[in-house]
Amino acid sequence: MTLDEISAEVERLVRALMDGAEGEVTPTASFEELGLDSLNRVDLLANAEIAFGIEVPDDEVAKLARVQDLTEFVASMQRG
Amino acid sequence: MTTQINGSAITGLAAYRPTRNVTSAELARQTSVSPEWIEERTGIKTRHHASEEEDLVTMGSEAGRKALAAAEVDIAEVDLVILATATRRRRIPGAAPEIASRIGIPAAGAFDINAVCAGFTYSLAMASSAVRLGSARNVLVIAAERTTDFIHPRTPDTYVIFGDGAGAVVVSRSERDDIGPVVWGSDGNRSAVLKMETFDDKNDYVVMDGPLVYKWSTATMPRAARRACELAGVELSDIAWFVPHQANLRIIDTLTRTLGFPPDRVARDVVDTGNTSAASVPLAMTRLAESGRVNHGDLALLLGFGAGLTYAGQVVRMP
Repeated sequence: MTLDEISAEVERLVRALMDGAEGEVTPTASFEELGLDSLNRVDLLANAEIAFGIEVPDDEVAKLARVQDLTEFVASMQRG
Repeated sequence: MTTQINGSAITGLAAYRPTRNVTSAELARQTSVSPEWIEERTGIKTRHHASEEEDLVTMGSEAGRKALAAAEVDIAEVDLVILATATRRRRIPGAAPEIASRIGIPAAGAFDINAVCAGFTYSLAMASSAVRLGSARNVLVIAAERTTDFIHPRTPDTYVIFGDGAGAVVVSRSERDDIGPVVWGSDGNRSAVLKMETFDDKNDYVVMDGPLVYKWSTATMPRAARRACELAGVELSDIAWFVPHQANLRIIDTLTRTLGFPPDRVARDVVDTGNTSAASVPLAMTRLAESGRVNHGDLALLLGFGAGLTYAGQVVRMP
């Protein structure tokens, strides 16, 4: 997938969990700013695992705090 | 050697809930979080805090006595007492023999097990095996916890969720297989996500990485739940009641959604009882039974999981 495609899918996954809440899903937006608490973030990562066919190790969970963190992580997993 | 295999069933169920009820508002005043945070994050409104008099032996004996009365089993016919607990301060001796004596059970086998939040379901599996193999006519399984002895307001995520109490079941020989085979497993590589640490006052308190506990629980427990049904020869859709460990409502809601259970068929005792470690599953079973909505013989899927990390679950028929 291209970075743009990954970014678009990450945005879709984030919006699905925002549940209609306000907030612009920009690369630098933090999940917290978008209304997702740390448990919502785990749900997001679980959905990303399914969507992208990747695994998110436990020690990455706390680091993936912003939209672009997740986009870059997915891209790095896909590069192998 | 020849061994005859019997059936096993839960014939009695009871609870002991400590007298003092503590609201989230009261706890919020002692910590850095708001009542709204507590409710949004955990779903818990109240939890019981045991008094000094409500020690593990007292709570366990009360629950055990009531379960035996509900089962109409004579104390002289109880051959084994198992106590699941992780919160006994004094390590030696175990508390199960004292509980047996307090109830008046003469000379039964008695031991404690510590599998923290999975303690009851592990114990239930042991009890069922003992009865099925003829090692016991009746087994009293008690889960009793004083988790609030090990929480500190410095760590609000644990301070606000844990509570105290005891639940008990009687497992008896039966013509039927009313307790399914157990599914169990563990991941010791994740032991650090829910453990104890020594604070400045030199006492040990429970600390938790909530998101990582949530991650493991929501990823692993659906598989375990399906496997427990498979082993019992039933479909998920045959299950009338899903009784997962009452860790917090967020985990319960995610498991409910993933497994496709109707929400009103899922135990949510955590809202009123908090997380009582091993006691949570039998307390939740008792709450369901007290609601009047459960029919004798309804299939229930029990799933204990937590610190270790470790889990055990099985399908049972409700008494």
